[in-house]
Amino acid sequence: MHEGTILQPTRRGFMASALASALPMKARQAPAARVAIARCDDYGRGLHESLGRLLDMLGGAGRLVGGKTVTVKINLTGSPTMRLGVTPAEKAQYTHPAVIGSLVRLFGDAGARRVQIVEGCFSSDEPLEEFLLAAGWDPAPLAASARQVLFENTNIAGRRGGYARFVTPHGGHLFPGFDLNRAYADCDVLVSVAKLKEHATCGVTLGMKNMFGATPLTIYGDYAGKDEPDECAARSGRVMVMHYGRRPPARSAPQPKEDGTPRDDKWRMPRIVADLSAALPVHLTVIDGIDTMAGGEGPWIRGCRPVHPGQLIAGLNPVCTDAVATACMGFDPMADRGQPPFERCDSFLKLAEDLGVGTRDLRRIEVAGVPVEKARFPFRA
Amino acid sequence: MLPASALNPFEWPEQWRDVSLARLLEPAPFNCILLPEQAPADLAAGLRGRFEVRERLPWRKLAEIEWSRPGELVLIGDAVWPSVGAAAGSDSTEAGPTGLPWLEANGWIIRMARDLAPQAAVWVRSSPPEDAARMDASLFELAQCEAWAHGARRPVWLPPAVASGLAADNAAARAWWRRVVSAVEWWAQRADRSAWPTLARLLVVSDFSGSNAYPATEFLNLAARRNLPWRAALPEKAGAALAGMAAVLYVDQEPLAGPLLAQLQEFLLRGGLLMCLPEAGRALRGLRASEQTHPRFDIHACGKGRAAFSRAGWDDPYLMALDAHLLMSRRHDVVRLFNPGSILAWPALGPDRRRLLVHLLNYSRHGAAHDVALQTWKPVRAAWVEQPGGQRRAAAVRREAGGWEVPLEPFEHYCAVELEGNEDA
Repeated sequence: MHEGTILQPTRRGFMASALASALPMKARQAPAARVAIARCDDYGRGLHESLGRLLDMLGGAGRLVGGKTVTVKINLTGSPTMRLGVTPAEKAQYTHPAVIGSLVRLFGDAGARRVQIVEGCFSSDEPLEEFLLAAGWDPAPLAASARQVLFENTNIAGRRGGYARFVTPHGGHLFPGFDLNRAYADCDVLVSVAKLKEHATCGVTLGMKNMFGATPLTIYGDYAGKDEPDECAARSGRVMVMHYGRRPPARSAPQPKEDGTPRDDKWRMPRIVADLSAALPVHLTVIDGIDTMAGGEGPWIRGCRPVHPGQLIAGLNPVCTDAVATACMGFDPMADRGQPPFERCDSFLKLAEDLGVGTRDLRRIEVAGVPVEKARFPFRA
Repeated sequence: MLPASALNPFEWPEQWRDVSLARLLEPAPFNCILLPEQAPADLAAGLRGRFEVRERLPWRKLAEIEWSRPGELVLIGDAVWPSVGAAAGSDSTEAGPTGLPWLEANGWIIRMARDLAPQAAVWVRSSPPEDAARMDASLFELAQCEAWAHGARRPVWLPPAVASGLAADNAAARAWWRRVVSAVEWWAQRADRSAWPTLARLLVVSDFSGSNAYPATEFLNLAARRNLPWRAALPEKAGAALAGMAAVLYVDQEPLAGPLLAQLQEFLLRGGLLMCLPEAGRALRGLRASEQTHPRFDIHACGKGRAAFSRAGWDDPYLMALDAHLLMSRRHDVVRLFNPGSILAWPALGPDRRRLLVHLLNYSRHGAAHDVALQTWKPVRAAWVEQPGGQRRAAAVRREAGGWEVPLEPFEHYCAVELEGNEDA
């Protein structure tokens, strides 16, 4: 992929080259790219500078987004009115609006032509701006962060109509491809803005797992259309199709390879995350680890608690970035099923590495800024 | 004779045949006795003088009330017992399409009646609950809180076992009675607040009759469940209610005409949102193509405002409430709740228009499973909370990314949150 350098992305070229590769790479051949870590104590004035420094360590925002259309996938998991105790969602399970706004501003200042903020909003087809309002956020400052900022709920086809197909190189583990909202295709740069969290089904949820929310409910939701996407079906989760494989996605989309596969979410979900990471190249991952939660991905997981790692992590390869973030959480990114944080699930880091998306081997990943040892914030402490 | 608005009614139990049992009401705040149909002839005479006595009141179903002639007392006889909806024949809890638990609630009925009959007092009652196990005092406390919070009265009705027990000076019955009376006493001291009007940005206009009644009333019910406050108005009275509104939902099939058409045309020109059926809006002038698209509405620009015509009609009140909320935007939400569970919120505006009173009713009747917080966009200088049986006390206000927040302690039935500095305009 883009080892140690800033990607010069042309999205179609990237996808074509990924497709051209006929066989999975060996783990040792999986690409590596620099990951940067910065300390940041809160979401105040220092945040913008920290994020700017982080991007500079990766080669600078200008080289990444100058003159480009940028799609920013944020993480708003679960209901917008659900909180971990009294902790606002943005300080627990959601990426903080200040991080999103600051990034968009940096992209705008760096010459981005257009920025699209996208998310598959929890169980709904409502406009993303309205979802943000329900969470208690005002979307107006986000919209004003750069010259042309658009919002899109990618659970449905939305303003562009129709879906774009993303093919998983080598056929993937489970899904040979995905049909997604065109916002993920009609862009030059795709950014995953995630939260530093554990996950009940996938061990950790970082930049790669964040992209699971890109799968539209019209095709992959519990009430998805049988043959075609049903634009009125965005009213539930993805449990039936994705977590347990109890029904297929809409027949118009690439069908999963279900023959004999376990109907176990802890087997399926890591594979889906890995397949998505191969099919849908993410050019920049930014992980909000300033205020977050430990013990799970949302307040619905028992025993969760708010934590304050006070750090931001960013990288150009999603596997490398998530591997470093996993290490920052006090886990071994080389861990396999049965070892923390993957005690009960397969490691999507390993599965994505097997697909040649990137390496999880810290020895091969250059880390800029704060060293991993100094950034380590044990989530299971 | 006291005006209906000053009455605090109690339903005399059928099995109380002896007027001397009125002694049980002496320390209680009731000033009006509703006699049962089979009451002995001398009972009314014995009670008159000490109480206002009413007999054979004409309770009606909500759908049967003529809103053009409501009288001084609107008597709604088909209210429900407030509760979290239980699935028939099972212990499970029903959930609506939102995934939220279904709530049996009367707030919307009372608010509708108060809006449509502003000069009248509103009373509600329900048939006795079928399940004796549900007849604990807590249910009756919630029922009283619900009625008072929304500005109505609910005549206190005693379950037969309690009525008999009280007559026999049974300790359990006395404890039951004391709880319910305490709740009514607490509210009676706050009757003025009970009358504070709704603060809403949405006006729902309908004649609430014939084929318009179902979509109009179901909308009010489901919008309230979304914690979307509204004001309701009859078509001929809507003009006076437009001030401060961001959106109007005109439910009726009849085309807009006359003064209402002119008033809504002006409302659109000034920047308002009108939602209606296409045939109802066909007389509107100055409609232009709009860039805004919607899966279920055709949206037109008009002046500074928008006219949204429902393509599918009002067949699905759930979607109707959802669409109305999102078309007008959550930006107009007066308050929002986090971790609301089975709590419904209703904002009311104080007479000085600087104090916002948020009525919170907990239909589960036990403390929330998670910490509940109330948020508002507008700056809050100070906040107070108050619960039945407790003292009004200052509440912490904290500033979060989304606005000003008041964290709430768990409460059983009702909590009032008063916010100062939250102007209505």
